[in-house]
Amino acid sequence: MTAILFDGIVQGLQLSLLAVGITLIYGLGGVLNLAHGQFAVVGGVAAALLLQLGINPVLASLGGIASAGALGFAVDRTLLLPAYRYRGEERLLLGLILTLGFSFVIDGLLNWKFPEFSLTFQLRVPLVELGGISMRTASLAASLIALAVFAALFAFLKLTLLGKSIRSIIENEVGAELCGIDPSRTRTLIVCLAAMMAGVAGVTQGLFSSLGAEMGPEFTILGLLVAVVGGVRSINGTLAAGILLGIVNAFASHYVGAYVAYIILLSFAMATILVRPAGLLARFT
Amino acid sequence: MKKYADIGALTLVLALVPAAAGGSPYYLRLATLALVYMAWTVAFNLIFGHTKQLFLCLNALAGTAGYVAVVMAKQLDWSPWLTVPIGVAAAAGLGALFSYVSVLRGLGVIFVGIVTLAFSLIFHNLVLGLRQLTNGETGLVTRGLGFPLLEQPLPSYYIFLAALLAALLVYHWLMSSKSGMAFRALSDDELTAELSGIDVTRYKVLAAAVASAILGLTGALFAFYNGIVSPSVFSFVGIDIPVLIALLLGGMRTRLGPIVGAVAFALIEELVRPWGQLNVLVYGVLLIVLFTTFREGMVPVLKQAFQAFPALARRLRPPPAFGSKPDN
Amino acid sequence: MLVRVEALYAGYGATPVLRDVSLEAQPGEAIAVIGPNGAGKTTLLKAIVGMLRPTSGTVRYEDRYLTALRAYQVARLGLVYVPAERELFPTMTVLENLELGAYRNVRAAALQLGYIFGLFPRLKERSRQLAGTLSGGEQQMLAIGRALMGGPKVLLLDEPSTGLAPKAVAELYRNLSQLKSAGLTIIVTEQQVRLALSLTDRAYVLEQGSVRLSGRSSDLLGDPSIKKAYLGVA
Repeated sequence: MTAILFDGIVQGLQLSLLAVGITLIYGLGGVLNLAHGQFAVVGGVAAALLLQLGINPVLASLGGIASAGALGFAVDRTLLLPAYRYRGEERLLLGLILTLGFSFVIDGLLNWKFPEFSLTFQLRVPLVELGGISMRTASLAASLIALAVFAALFAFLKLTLLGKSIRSIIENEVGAELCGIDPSRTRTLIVCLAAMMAGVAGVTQGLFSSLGAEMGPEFTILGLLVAVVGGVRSINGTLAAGILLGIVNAFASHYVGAYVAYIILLSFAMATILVRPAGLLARFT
Repeated sequence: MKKYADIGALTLVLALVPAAAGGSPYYLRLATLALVYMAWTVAFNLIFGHTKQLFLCLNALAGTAGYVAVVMAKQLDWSPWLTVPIGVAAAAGLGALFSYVSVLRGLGVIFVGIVTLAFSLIFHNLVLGLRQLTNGETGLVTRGLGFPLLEQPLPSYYIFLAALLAALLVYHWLMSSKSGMAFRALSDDELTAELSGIDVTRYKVLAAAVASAILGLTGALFAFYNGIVSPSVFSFVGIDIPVLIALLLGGMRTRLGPIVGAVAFALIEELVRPWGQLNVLVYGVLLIVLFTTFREGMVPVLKQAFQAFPALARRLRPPPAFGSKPDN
Repeated sequence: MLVRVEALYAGYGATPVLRDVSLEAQPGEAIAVIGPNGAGKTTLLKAIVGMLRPTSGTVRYEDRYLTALRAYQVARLGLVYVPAERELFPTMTVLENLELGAYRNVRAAALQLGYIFGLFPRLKERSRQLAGTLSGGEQQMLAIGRALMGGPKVLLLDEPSTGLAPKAVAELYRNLSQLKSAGLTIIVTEQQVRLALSLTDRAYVLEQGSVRLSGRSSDLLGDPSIKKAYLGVA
């Protein structure tokens, strides 16, 4: 029972990493990034390529994460430019279609160049004992990494001026501009950060499971579901939603099967949109 | 009578295609598939082009009708003449339901997209999960269920042509009636339309129901024609994306745009076939390029070329552009 | 002069609002823009600070043209706008709101904070409170305080007295006078005409998008047409 719970939390944290990125890009950039999962995959692929070159795993992972960030930068500065020329719903729609198209482009490229790709990290100590429960070191490590990233993110947003400016733009872009804050520069930064967090998710996927080149769309969907349930404008809500849905998914998969579990998650998302669009777990609208 | 001239001409041209295909079963099947996608694109034009409802569940709507019709025929031994209408009703009901709830809850385009995308995935997983009924990934054979005409290539082509004709006529009747004016007002500015007394809910739901019925009818027929129905027959990448591209290619909110677009897409598909897996990449590039440049589609561009033929040009005239002026 | 608007035409989409509006403000002056609802007062302010692109005409600040700049660039140059909606950050604290106001000039932030708390002691009391939980008057103070945090040279306020109790309005204008004597240039739009005219040096009367009248505020107070149209009952 606790094993399932723990598994759910680990998976959930991973989904949160993806979902927070989607939330940030939506809140700041006004774009629903349907290619977000691809940042994770590209990060993992880059890390694997670096590993093949003989670079040590930690550096290779960092390299992968940096690559994801670079891709994010490129996407914000090129692909999304047409979307940024508009506001509100039109930007959303244009951004959605552009990122959808981009997701297909990456998917096609990756599956063509790396058809049998799989990234897995092997740890020297496979199992570890904690408080009487033995768990896979990989899962523990993945969770700790995710938690560390979140802690860093919260500290950044809460304590630094740059972080506060990001929150201010999400909250009220007009007000932020009146304070002299340049939304588009900040937005590029956020897209990079979001992409890097996705990169972390991709690399840690290789840690406690394995990452395949075709997982992009799946990551995007799961991240999107979590972001929706947590509230596409709420970062706290997204973190909570990820853990919640991760646990729900773990238990549902175990007791009723993978398909029904997926349907439950999807229903959560649909219910949220129809009943409480600001997010089931969001504190503020 | 003049109003039907273009539809009539089109039907005539399409009716002659099998002769041009020279009896090659491969090309006949391609042409039949093109007809199916044309009908689906006409439907999407109604939902997305005219009433701005971003339904990303076309595959689920068509697939629901398909699976309902086939499973009922298999399990209950009912004739397709009965099960297909039931399937269509199911699809139309679902489409209307999603539309109604979305308007009721005041969902923006994006959230409608997410909800319908979720539905599309639920459909996929339901089909896989209800393995006793649907045979999961492997699918069901749809031969010998009481629809012999759809098991022969040439009659099938004409059945789908009839379905497409029906779709075009329904579209024409809708657009030339009060509903058409409502749609035009809606797609321009929903708030203003509502304030001028147009029952936005009613027209959006109407558009969704009619479009879903078209999707369902064609989908159910396709299930029988295809010989096999499985999740991959009604997949998101296989249906929603091509239809979206086709509509963008042909021109949103135009009469024959969906036809032109579907043909153009079919040609592109053929060109890209030898590249195998990379076709997905082409879809992506098309989406990006089309949505940033030819927002109104190819038909308006062709319209300029046809300026010398005023009558034809009038037929192809697109209404006001989607999207307002960029600011700054 | 510090701010000069010349022959400005502006509007929203196809609807023109401002027609051939010209205005100027000297350093340390307080200018009022008065007129009925819908006259274009807000549109004028928005056009000056870059929230709206004018269809023709120019806005000059010192020796620069502002007409092509974005709102955040204008703010960084020292022209800060306090809109009628205030546009605060409701889930952030008073302190955080103020900090963000100093975004363009972080070095001066600490000093400015002391000054602003001196000006609005109520804000100091509530510094850790969330901006969304403040009263209308306090939010107005916060909006102005935030605008002042960057050490602006020109302050533009859109109907700052709206929704405020008379006592709060009096306090607000007292503070504005103080700021004026400290060298700040103020452009304020108001519906409360008597108030606006008694506290400013010069005024422009905007009606249906054009400047109908302008001059020294004290002169306008005594003008018979103004008295009839705006001061009759007030």
